[in-house]
Amino acid sequence: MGKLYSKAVNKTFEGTNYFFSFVLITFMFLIIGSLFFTTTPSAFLQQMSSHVVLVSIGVTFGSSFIASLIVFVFSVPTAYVLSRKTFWGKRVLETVVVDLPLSFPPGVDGLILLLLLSRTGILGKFLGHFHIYVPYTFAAVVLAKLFVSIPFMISFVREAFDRVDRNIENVAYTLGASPFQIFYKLTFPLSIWGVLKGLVMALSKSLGEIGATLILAGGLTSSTGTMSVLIYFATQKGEMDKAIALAIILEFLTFILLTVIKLFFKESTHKIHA
Amino acid sequence: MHKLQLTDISKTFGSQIVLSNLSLEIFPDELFVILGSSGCGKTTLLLGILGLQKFDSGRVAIDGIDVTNLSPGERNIGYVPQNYALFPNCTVFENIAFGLRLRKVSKNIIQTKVRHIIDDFGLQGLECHFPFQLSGGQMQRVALARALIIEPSLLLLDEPVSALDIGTRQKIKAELKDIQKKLHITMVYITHDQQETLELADRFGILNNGKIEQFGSPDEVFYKPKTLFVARFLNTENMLKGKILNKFGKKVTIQTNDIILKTYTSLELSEGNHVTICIRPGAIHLSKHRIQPGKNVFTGTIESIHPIGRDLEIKVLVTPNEVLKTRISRIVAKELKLAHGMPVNLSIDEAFVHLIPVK
Repeated sequence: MGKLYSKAVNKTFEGTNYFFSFVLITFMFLIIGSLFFTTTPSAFLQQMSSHVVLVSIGVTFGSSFIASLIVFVFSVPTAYVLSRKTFWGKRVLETVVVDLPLSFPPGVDGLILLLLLSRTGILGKFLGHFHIYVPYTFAAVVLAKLFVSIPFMISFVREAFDRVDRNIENVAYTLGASPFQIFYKLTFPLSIWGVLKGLVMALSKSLGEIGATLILAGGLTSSTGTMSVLIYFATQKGEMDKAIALAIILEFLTFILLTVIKLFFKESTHKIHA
Repeated sequence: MHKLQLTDISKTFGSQIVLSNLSLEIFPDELFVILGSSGCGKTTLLLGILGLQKFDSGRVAIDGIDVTNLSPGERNIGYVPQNYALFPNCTVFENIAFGLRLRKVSKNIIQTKVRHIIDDFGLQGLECHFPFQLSGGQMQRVALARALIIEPSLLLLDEPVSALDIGTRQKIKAELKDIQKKLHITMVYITHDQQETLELADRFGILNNGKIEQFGSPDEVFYKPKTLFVARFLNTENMLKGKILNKFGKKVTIQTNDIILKTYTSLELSEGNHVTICIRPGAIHLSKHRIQPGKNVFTGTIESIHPIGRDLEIKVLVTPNEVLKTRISRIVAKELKLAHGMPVNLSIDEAFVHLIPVK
């Protein structure tokens, strides 16, 4: 009796798992796949040859690429400091640099940046002396993407640095290596896949960013109209073909990025930790 | 031929005292083992010697030269950590050559030296392998080769065989001892394993409460523990409470619950002093036949027989309140046909009856 009962419980448990997984997977495929069923190849191609769409692709990729480069330059040293150094106020710094921006809605990020960089903002006033005005420019798009994606990058890179065995670095020190030699010969190469994963996550976050960009950059001009912002305005105006075409490109590219990094990451993890 | 001197080393983490005025001298060419339980400060001491962590106070000197404020690289100490810490992104050759390349040694000399050490350590054919392609024993050899190729003043090993299987462990331990004798290198070996300590150490020290509780040769510390902690830590099998009956010069007679033991001691003891008597099972001879009555000879019955590794531990009830443990090999036990309740005779060598004064 007891055995029969336990068998029935196990079967129910397995069945429940399969059922909920199936429902979720079907739902996700429907959401992702629905884009492809709601347009035609000719409508898609027509939108793809539109000047506005092409410019928005350029703005999106240009700004995301520049933002990711800046994110890389700033995140790697910051993540290294957070991973390797112990200092007073480290927890607070982690919260301010990583946790808070991660948990803020992008709209709030955009508002903070706008307040900071507007003509009356602290930074905006300072930049005004040099006749530099950031909001509603291409630089604002880059800045919005940067602000939103940098905590992701720091978080990933820091985790990658944390995973490097400290004994490896200790041995290198005893062999006469300097901190910089240890970083470029061991720590960074051993974290490279984590860093790349962070970079791809930051890039995919940048590509799809809308909230902060909309508030800081507006998105009405040709130099600030990213794909996400354009999708938003297109749906507002009922230009569904344009919105779908842009969404398909974004979806496809994000999918490629994530798949590539997952495949590489899996392989590299095996190699290092086998 | 290098000597390591530690003087008044102290280290605290917050309110926790990890090392407290620890002083120790490790002689040239010796294999000194630092033995201690987990969390006793072994690794803190090792990291401090290596210069990877700063001591709060104290002095580290190699051959009399103060290296306390030198960087790890400037100290010229080889280090083999517990998990070997081979560089996963470097081949065996690159791992071994790492220290030489940092020293900007010419390519030809690096080639020659690395080839030579690869041959010495039996790593031929593995030059282009990455660490993940090596067995535990091979990784261990690469780690040793990498540390030794820079010709260090001394070599520090942190539980280097704990991750290996028993067979490889025995082999590597023997190899380590051979390397140490062959290269005349001063080695500091850190472990929590008593057996390993007794097998490897020329001398060893037991770390407790931030201090070296006792140090000396394995025989000295094993048979003559100075404190109750050392006796207990080294699992002294027979620890009896006793009182000094009389003392003439070094000769002393002790009364336990029911038996009287005789021994020699240079301790300052007088009649009536309480002591703990430590006797190793190896010092207790067991016989089925009658032993000529004399000093430290007892009769008793076998209370229990337990297998301990390749030997058997025999508990003999000497009086209703006194049990003595001895050990004999399984083969001898079989020949003697020992069984529970069997009457046996015990004799204890006076030289191995050791006393610890009770404070």
